[in-house]
Amino acid sequence: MSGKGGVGKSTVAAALGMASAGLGRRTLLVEVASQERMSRLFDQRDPIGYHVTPVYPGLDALSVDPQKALEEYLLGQVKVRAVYERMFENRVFGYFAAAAPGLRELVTLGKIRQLLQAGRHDVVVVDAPATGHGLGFLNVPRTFARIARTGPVHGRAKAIAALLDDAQRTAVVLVTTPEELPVGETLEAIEDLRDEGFPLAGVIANAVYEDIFDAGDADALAAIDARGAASAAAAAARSRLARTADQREQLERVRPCLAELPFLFEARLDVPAVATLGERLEGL
Amino acid sequence: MILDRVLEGRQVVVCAGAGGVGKTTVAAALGSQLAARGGRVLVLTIDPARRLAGALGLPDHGDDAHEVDLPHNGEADGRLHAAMLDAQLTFDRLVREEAPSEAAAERILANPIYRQVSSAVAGAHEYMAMERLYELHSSGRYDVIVLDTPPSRNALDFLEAPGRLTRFVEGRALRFLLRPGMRAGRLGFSMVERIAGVTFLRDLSELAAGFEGMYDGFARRASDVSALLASERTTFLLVTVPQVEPLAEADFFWRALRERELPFGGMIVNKVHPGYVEGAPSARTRLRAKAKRALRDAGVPAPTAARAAENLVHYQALADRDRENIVALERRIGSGPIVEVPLLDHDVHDLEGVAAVGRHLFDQAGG
Repeated sequence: MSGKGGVGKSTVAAALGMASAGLGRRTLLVEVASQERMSRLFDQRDPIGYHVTPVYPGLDALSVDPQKALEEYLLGQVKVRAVYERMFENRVFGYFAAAAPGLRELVTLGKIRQLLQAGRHDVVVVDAPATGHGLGFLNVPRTFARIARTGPVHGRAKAIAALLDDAQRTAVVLVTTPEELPVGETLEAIEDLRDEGFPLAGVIANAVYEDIFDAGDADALAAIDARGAASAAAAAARSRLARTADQREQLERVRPCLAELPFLFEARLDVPAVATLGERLEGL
Repeated sequence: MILDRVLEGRQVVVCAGAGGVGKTTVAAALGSQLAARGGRVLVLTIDPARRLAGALGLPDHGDDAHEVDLPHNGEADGRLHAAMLDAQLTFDRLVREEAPSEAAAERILANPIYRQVSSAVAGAHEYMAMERLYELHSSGRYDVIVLDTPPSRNALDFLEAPGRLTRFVEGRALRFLLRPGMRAGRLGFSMVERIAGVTFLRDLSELAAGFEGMYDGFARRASDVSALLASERTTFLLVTVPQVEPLAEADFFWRALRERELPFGGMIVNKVHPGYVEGAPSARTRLRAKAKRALRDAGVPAPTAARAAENLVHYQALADRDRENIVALERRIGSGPIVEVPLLDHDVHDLEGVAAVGRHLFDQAGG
């Protein structure tokens, strides 16, 4: 799942994870930016960190720490712990690991692939970096397969790229809000994903104002001349009508969507609130 | 008013914050207001949304500065320019400038790993934003440069960018790789070779050889730009929206600025839901009934009145939540100024919208 920053990508990813778990699929929700949004969303007492942690019935979560994923991968390659430890202490290697472009993204994606192969989960929902960063993220394995022309990195990068390219196994979902700039960025991302041949499943529109007023309401409220609570309600209604009309226009640019999720007026997004969004995603 | 004080005498205004909070819009709004006050102003944007780029008169490609056609009408003869960062172009220019010869520059530019480093490596974008800022600032063509920062996953990426890239170019490690016979390098070399493959290593060694001799130039520029950012000539404005996650990021960045003793100018809280009724949130329980009754008294049909009252309660709940979050922010950052921009009824994506945001930014006495 990707999308412009600020559109509620993490919330929608969590909702999709809950919907998937609700349908009996063993689901893993993966966060890649170490921001611990999932631990806050699911009211975890401690950070989830680099541990597969149950957060909801049928749903586990994991926050991938690229440094730890890299250590884990290298330990797997080198096999002898003493050699591995010496290597990690080695400054040469440290510089290489810190500077090698895209290595962190590669090991993060490698970890996700490995978790799928472990067979404990049927589906992994990845809260990927925002569009812009997002496409770069998906492209990293292909790039690595190209620049490391031989050797273990080449093989591994190729296998990850094959997973991401496979429409049977991978679906890229873009989240947007029905606003001019996020929709514009979403349309650009759709173009780029198609050009690069990634399996785009579609768009989920988030924070959509429900149409609660009709034309008659608008007229009745426009006509009133009042003060106090009545005038406040009329002003709020006018704002709602203006925003809803703008949103309809923007939605047309990305329709048909996989789903359209309602704007939630709850002051805090808690587990039950996110679960109501999840219910709307069960058809996917 | 408060921003006029904060921005007085500054040559560099850095707008930082999480993705999606409206950084580019705020940067453009600051630029247009500063230009309206007179002076040569440049807004340097990073990856602007296409529609906004269009509004600023930026072309799809290239990183030249273009004059923005401002509709302002005061006597001030300020000029607003806008430019877009192209990290690749900036890096290429830097290599050409610092390489000892043209042939050496071409060797680096043709290296397959260089292409990846300059476009994909974490932090390269941030570093190039700094480099471009340095270029433009030292050109002397502008009185003020407003820098829109890349949507970093981590705020620290931006502050740490100069050091990180300098270390890469410095390539002490890479030089070890060039001499695998050296005892210190042998283990690292064989491990890297085993994991990454021989061709990768050869390309990397060649790149390191190319960068040899350029280190001093890189380090000097990095230290100059770091000094500029830490000086009185610069101010950092942290842009956020009044929701928990972006506020937490703004708070984190604010702490990072303090630890590094970088000049913090203020918080700009964008897209604040305006309130519709006065009084404490605890008095809201009867708001629905009260609004419904008042609307009925004003002649609004009952079903419409019920829906409008419900909507008012929802809108007011968002306003109350935003207020609560801003109060918490004030408590945390103490005397640092906070400037609020209300959520407008229409999305901001043209110069008119940018101007509206600009008016809100500068009209406030500040808190």
